[in-house]
Amino acid sequence: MKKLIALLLVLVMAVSLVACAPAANNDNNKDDASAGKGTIAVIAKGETHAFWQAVKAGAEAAGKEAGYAVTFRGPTAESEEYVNSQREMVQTALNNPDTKAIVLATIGLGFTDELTSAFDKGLPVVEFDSGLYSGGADITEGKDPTIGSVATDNKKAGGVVAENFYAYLKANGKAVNGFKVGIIQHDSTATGIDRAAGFKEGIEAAAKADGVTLEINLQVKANNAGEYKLGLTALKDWGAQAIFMTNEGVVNEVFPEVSDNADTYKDILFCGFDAGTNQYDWIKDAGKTYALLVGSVAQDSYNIGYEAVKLAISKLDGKDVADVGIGGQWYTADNIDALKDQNIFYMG
Amino acid sequence: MSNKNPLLKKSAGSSSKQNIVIILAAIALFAIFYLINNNFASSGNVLNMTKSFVPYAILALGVTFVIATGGIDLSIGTVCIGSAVLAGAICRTGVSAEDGTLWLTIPIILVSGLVFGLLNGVLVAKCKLAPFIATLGTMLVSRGVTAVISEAIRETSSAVKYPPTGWFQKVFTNLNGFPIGLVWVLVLTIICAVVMYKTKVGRYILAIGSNEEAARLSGINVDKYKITAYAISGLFAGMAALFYVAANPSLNIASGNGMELDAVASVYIGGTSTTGGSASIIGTILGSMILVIIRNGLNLALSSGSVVSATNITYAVTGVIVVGAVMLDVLKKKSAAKVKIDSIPAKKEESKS
Repeated sequence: MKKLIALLLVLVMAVSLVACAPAANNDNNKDDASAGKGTIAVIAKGETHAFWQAVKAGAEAAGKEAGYAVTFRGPTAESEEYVNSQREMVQTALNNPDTKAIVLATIGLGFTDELTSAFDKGLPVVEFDSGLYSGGADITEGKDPTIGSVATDNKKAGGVVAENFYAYLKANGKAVNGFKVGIIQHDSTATGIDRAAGFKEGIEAAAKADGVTLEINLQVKANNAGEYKLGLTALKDWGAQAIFMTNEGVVNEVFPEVSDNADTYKDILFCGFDAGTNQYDWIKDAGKTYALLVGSVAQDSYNIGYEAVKLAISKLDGKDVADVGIGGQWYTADNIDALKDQNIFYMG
Repeated sequence: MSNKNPLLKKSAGSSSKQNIVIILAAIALFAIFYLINNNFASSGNVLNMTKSFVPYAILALGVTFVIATGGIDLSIGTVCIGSAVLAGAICRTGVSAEDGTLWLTIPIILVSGLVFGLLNGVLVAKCKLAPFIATLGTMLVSRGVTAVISEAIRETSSAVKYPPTGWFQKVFTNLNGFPIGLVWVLVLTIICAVVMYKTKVGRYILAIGSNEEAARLSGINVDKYKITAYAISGLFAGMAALFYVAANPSLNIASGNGMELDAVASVYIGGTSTTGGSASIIGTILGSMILVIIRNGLNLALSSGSVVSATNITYAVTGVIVVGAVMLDVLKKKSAAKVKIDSIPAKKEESKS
């Protein structure tokens, strides 16, 4: 009986594996068919989110134009706890003999061996989006496979929010001494820090030029369920009159709270970052039923993917390459539909 | 445990049989994954697998002692990561080897693990809480307390960083290309096997798991040895943190989510009885190995843009294996009970003659 069960167990495992195998093989074949010159492996910080889907579309378009196959993978969520699974994805790319270059944004440290291996194999690595975690602290001295980066300039983009948002405050007579501005920063990675700093420095400088001093309160929260909402509550208690949200994740937690408790938050002015359905609905409401979302900055996700793969291909073609900075685009209720048509604003 | 008792001999025999089954399954899985994707056996991938394997194996070794008493420890995952977060914050470690005092993290991590383990032990043995509840509490407490302390020290989020290259890696993960973590696992396995089978501590732990009341009546200080089992589990959770941090130098408090379940699953797959009383240290290691092979192998097999998520398939396959392994344990017990009943009339006949 026991032997039978053991045998069954092995069988179940074997069958489940065989069931998976054809899908993988088919995909390999499909890749080989389109991979005239080889494969560019794109490993992102996520895969299913609309932002990454737009990046993927851009990456695939660039690959197709130049005759390369593009594989696109990313972990379940953008959190350090998924470093293990992301490392396995990098390992897979390194082990694939068709891989000619890797386009990479890491969610944590722990890629030292993989980056060294890429260097030893002569595979160029393009950093994109937030690039290598912690400024590439993973790179072993003398074995740096990175050749350039393609990303939104987050500090500059934070500054774009500050500039436009301050112009709104000024136009509406709110740019006064002691006006309280809160920031909910989505995490302590470079992206979060840069956006918050760009916004803070930008709005302070703009106010100073008018002889106005603002009060700023920064709430740094981790990407855990409910954390951003706590940031919102803390800022409300502090008496915030305006709040900047540094990414879509923050907006997605803040928006339901603001719309469910319309009266509580009615007098706070909001501004955001990134895109998504919540920001679309919020901005289109134009302050009629709940607090006003003045505007937001969208990253050009499609072009981030497109330019990153293009940079890798340029290097493979032996051309000189340089870092590419992708600008952010300020949008309000007026131009959001136009940006949606251009693939810069996505719903997701 | 003496092997003179035929019942124990039978149980030891079936445990080694289960080990053989696991080894064969591991070899079969390795071969299948290799056939699906030849890169599975590449040196880079094997090094990568050992990075995942070592912390889980060490967690599982520790919790084997608790499961052998008939208990469970749900706190090991958060104790492991919480200790690392706490030590990183106290010692102010960073991505550069010069940041903070890296060496000091080792004693802090180990002491923190041990303290949470002792807390579990006291709650279970002295306060008579059900192990599930006690360790669930410690799981939440360890997560909350370590995160709050590190937030207070760092004045930002609880995420911490350790240096990604340097002596820490050379000692715990990668010594110039050699997966040094495996040597540590081997040493710890031998130590655990000796403690479990050759020392008073191990024998008493097994006796408590087999029949707590009988153990108490025969003069064993049950509370003391239960506390010891949970302390070992906590200490090993701390040790696992060292290897986890060396492989994943950036971590937040959520990094340990679910680690305890994989570790406990490894122990059950390895043939340690769910109700205590019998434990297989080798089985625990083999169980962890199977889980890592499945996780990594499925990831490689489904690598090329497949629509199916390897992570989700891994959950399903792991679930099937754990249930199957526990079913084996139940059947083993049933057949042992049958031997006992069968042997009664035989004994009676013997006494008649």
